[in-house]
Amino acid sequence: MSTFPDGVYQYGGMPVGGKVFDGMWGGQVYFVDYDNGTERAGGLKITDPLNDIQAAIDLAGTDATIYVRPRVFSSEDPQQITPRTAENFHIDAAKTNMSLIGTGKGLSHAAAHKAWIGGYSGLVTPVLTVYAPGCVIENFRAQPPSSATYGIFYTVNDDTYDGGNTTFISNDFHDANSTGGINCDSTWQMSIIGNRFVNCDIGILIRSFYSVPQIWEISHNYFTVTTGEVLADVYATGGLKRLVAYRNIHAAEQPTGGDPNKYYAFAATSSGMIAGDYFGAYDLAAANLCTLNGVNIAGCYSIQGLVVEAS
Amino acid sequence: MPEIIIKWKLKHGKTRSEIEQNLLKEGWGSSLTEEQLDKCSFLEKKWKDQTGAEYSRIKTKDIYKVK
Repeated sequence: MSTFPDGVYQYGGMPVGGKVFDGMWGGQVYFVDYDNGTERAGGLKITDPLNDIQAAIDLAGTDATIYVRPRVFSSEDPQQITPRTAENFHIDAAKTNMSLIGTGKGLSHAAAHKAWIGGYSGLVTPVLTVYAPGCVIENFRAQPPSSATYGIFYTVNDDTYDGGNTTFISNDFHDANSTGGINCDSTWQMSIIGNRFVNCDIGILIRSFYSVPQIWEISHNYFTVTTGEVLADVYATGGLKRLVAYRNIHAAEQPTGGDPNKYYAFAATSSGMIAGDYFGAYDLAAANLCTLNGVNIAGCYSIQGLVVEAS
Repeated sequence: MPEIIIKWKLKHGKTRSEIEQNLLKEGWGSSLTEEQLDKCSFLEKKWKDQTGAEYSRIKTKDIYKVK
């Protein structure tokens, strides 16, 4: 019998927990190469890529996967992939279960760094807005537009749209302001996994205009700053229900100042659990690290490997 | 009347790991690390064993759950 508490499968062994992953083939696979693709390409072959992410999104249907190649390098970094028309990237409501995946993995595959996507010059709207449920946004580097509103990546749930059940995974967010690297308005069942938040005033901003977000998984993320002061790594302005957060590293110095600027994670009326997170603070009192309005904390560590005291 | 059977071959691969390998060959890089790619192949095999389906698209979220 498996002894892996959070593992679906035991690597190299028998399945644990049954058939719970989505292994079915979805829709078409499209390829986008900003520098070498063309406007008229079909986009269905690696050797016949489109040159615009939005064109691929518009062309693709439900369950599609879109691979995006990093641009050519300028000094050390690949250049930004920006929209070719005067609006930022958006996955419309009908494009359910779409996967948008950047290729290139930095030092793991040194030939190409992560695909770096940016907004159209002068626009303050998010680089990417998700209006459809079930999407996966994976392996991009992104920075906010100047004077950004609604973060770098934005999901929305209201009378018209449902951008919930979205997964943000393996992305690098740099220099987000107080509107967040990921900004989620009332979206439920979100998975925020394995992302890096660098120099972000707020890493994940969760708001509840339409309804209080519920059933969230936040795991394996890395939050840090090199300069300045973080406001909060995770900030839920109107509450967050049934949160499961685990194995996140909050490497930045402990925020100081008044609420919410003195917590790594701040949430109004909430429920859930934070387990196995690491905090870059000398303070061992959980209540000083996170607001605990209904959220339990267990198995977390502060600096020097000391266990955070739950009460 | 003779039947014409058209077989459409997916040149980019039937599974995510095949696609990722082909992306690497074409110089695009991969969205997965080598370890993740290995785990992805493992999940694909499990999926094929369970369902018989040759086509699969494993999500990275599932790869994180492999120990």
